Amino acid sequence: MIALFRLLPRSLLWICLVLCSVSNTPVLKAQDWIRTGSGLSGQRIRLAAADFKPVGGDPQVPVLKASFDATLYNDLANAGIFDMVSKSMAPPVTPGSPQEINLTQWAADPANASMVAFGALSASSGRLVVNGWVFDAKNPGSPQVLGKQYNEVANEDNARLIAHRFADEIIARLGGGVNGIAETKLYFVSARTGTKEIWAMDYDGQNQHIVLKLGTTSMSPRISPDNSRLAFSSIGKEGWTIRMYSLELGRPVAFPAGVPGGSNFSPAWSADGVKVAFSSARSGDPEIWVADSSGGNARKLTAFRGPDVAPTWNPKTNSQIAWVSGRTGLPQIYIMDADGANIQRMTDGGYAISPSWSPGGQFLAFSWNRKYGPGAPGGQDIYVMDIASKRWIQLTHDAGSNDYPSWSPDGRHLVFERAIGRSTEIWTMLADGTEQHALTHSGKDFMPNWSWK
Amino acid sequence: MSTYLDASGQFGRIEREFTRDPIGRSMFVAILFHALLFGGVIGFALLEGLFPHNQWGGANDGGAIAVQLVSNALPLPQDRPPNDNVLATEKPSEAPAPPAPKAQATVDQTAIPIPAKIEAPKKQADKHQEAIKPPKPVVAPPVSSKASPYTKPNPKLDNRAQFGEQSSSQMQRSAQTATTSANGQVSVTSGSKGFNYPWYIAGIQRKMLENTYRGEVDPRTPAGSRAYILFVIRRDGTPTTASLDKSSGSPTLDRACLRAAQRVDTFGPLPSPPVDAPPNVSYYCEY
Repeated sequence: MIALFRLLPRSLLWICLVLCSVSNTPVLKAQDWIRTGSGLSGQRIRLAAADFKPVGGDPQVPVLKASFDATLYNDLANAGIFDMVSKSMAPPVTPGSPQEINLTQWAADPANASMVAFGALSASSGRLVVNGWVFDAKNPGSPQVLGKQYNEVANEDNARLIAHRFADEIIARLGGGVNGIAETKLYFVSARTGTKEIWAMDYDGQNQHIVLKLGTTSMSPRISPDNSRLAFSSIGKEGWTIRMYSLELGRPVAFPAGVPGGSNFSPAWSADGVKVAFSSARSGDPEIWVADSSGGNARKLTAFRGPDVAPTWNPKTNSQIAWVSGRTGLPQIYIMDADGANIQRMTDGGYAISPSWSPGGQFLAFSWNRKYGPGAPGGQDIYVMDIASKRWIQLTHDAGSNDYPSWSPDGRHLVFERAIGRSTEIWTMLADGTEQHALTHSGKDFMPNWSWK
Repeated sequence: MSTYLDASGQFGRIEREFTRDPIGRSMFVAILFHALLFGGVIGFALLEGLFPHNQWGGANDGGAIAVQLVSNALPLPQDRPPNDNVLATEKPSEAPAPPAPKAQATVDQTAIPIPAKIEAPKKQADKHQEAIKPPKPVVAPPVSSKASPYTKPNPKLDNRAQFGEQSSSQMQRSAQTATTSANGQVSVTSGSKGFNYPWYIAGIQRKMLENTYRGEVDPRTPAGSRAYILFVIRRDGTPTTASLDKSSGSPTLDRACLRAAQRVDTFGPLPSPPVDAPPNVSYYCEY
């Protein structure tokens, strides 16, 4: 026994050594290694969208193909992540299938494409069939990145729809898993019928149509995260009230919390669609209130002198609200927890309104006049602020009065209202302020809101 | 002035009061001077307005103050990144001198010629030799003159080693499946099958770059510092277990690099077949 105890320390040492050596042995896993770093790439993908090859002699095909090609190219160009190859630089042969494409031609100058989107489009017996592929032109060994087939009733709307879907697939695949926005909608207020009504359009400004006609003045439409309901404020017998419109039922639904006394404005959906925040003056002073989306359980979040309006939820965490408060005089952007705690002021002066929280939760977009006052040289412009560091960049410069920014669900785009003179239009731009262009042209369009998906 | 008592004295006083002070001349000069001054100012302003010459954005120097660093002794961080290329150098070496002409085979004049071995002189070759005769050296370097049998011609100034300038790489971006050969030669392998999705790797680079905030890095970090991090990409594209592999020496750069990996929600679902293990990623952030 004693001998055993004498041996124990030595044997323990050996056991330890053996164990250590075993644990240090690298486990030979069949894992792939990717070695990469910054400064190696990072530039935009050079993508060529070839004209799709028309198949079959159906008389509809040329019209559908023109619509499809234009929509696909615009969607990809609008995505903000591709360097598009101009169509004039494409090789002369239109490939319709993987067997027909000559990748070296596309990879060579002048196209010099990294990726090629191509395919074939056919219409027969009232059905539109589209086969689309994306090939990596610089990797002829295994070029296929994406292959899709679509089959819809043959009409121009569906040609655009398929192009949107295919573009979204390409953007999701090559853009790092972020879904495209080609199928999203924009809701806005338009006075082109005489009264301010709620309108909707595709994200690219196509297909503009009225959603509901109340014959009164409606403002600040906000679509629910599941695209089923539309909250907006509207003036009626009870004054300004929050109303709900069900897009699925096609009729207004009750929202009792938005009715009682005082003016109720600017509804905002929480990211889970369960709650709606809005501003209400029922207690005498405009304050931020939160209610269930069914209209019950209304409670007040803010209780300061001075107006508190325009709430917006943090769509990432769903636990914070940004809003505009005039408690120190001119309106400023503040953030707080969803229960009203931890109030923090974000802007340090000027006239800041209309916050919109980015889908990633990292940025606030808002409209700001930093040098506000009579004779001051400021303009109302769109700014984006990094919430953690409170550093901001200005996105619009010297172009009218800009207001009501709203983020796209991919966080890469913003839509906003721009008033130049007496004409107010809906504009869109990338979130860095580039590629600004107008979506409407009637001169009477206001308060855009981007759908969540 | 008020000491006159009689009527004439009164008159005299009035007359005296009506008498002008001798300031008329000075007044005239002053008014003329001011009129000229104001006229000049207004005229200049009018002329300026009539002939606007807005040079804004023109080819002039813009009136900005040109600042020149008078000394390079300031302890600023270097802005030229260190180059890992062992062939690159700040001082390009001179290329070796062009080959010297072959020494003429010495002919023993005293030897008796063997008739069979006498060759006709090659006229063509001789002419050619003369044509490419190197220029006569100006000064022969003292060391080499002794060491070598022939003098070293001066290298031409434009005869420099080529480095640093090359056309863009046409390297294939796909990884090759590597094998270990039977004789024990080990080639560098990139896993079992190789992650043959270069577009996905380009996506990783882009996404990481988007989420790296240079503002988080201390500006005193030397340019070109690299922080290496490791992470694994799950099948759904989310990065996990991000850890620092090799520090850059700057804690802020290390942290910014790690934060970038933590900030990424997804790189997109992995394109590789589900039987493949999720890939390890070694990524470096260069300041």
